[in-house]
Amino acid sequence: MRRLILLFAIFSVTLLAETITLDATLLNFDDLLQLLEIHSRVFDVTPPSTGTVGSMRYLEYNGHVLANVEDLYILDNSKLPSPGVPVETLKLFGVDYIQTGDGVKIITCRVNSIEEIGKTVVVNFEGEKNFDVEQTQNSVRIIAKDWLLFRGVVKMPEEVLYEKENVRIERTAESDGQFRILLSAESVGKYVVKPFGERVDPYEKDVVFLVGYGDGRIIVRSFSKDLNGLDLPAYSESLKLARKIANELGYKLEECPVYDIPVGVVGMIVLLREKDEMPVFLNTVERLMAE
Amino acid sequence: MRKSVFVLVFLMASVLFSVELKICYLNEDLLPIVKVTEGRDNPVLEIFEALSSPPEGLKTFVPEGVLRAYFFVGDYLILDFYGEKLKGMNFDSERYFLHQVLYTIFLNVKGVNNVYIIIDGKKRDVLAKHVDIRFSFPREVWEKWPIR
Repeated sequence: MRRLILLFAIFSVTLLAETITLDATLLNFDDLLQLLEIHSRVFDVTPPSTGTVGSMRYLEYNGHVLANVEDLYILDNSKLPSPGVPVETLKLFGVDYIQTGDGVKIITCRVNSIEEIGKTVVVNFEGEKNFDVEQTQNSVRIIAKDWLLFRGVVKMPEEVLYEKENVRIERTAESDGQFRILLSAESVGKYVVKPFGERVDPYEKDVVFLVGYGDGRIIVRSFSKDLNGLDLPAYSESLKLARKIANELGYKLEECPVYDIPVGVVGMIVLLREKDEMPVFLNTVERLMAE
Repeated sequence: MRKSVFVLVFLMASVLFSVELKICYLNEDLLPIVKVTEGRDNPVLEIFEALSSPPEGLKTFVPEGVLRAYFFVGDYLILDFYGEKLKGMNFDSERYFLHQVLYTIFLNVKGVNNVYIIIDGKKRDVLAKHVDIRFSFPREVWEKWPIR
């Protein structure tokens, strides 16, 4: 039987940052057990449980049981025809792999989603962070740095998972299973005034004033700890400006996460008391923005 | 004598197991007015019952029976609301509903530092139409009344 060779020291957590490669397509019991133990550590799931009954050894992982006595292998009560476990069986144990010219590579990263929340790109992943974020001349790209699974599809190294043009990386943050990238366009300095209800571009580079009518108040989007501080620059800048305008106009100041102002955009909702307050408001904004 | 002992024990038990709940209502000018009421077994449920029944002269934006379920996870509180009860809220009532609920929760439940809101057991983008509920609400914002 061909021997399974793990190219990396299997009990070293630090070495798990590399893809695990096998040069065999038939695994013996011990090799499979070691592989599943590594897999459970990488994906932070319950490790395989093992036991013996007489001379029979067995392991249980991902709801499946493999028993072994010498060259006899029994998988979920069915005898396997070969004196080992075919590599295809790894799928059953929830282990993803790819067969390449170099052998069988075990995939240690699953990117489940990449979504834009305002100006923040959120990458939800499991296992190792086998992707990189690149700033090109006029775009930001997320690329695979090793084989990985992206929304269930295998991606090869250097393959682009996400690309956004005309933006740059402002900051990044990482917490368990989540990588966040705050993007920005050009520098802030100008402003736009829109009626409340009109859509605001999440990549809006200017300060946004959504103006409606009400009881004389300014509403600023509050921050959330979920965003790991990525929304704090826009929050503090918006709050500072809103406070000045509210003081000058004698308006109330409110903090509320209003959906109409995208996360990371500097801006506010202004509810004027009356229509004839519009010129005063515009003059105030013009003057404060010029300071 | 036996009757007096019974009354004394009952009063002591009432004192031991009662909790002071501070409930935020609004006056005509939409300014917060905090009233103290007595809670007993289930502070979160009692907070919502109290929030939906304002004393005379005060108002509330919290509808009766809006709370579907709640869960504590570490220092997080997850509030699950009935979507049906939130329908028809306008921009003002949606925001004041949020402020009343969060301000009251953070006033009373000291171990909670963040609140998540879900609707009918599911994650949603908005509470009714305008308030973003994709992210948690931190104590730092709502331990004070968020309108100044």
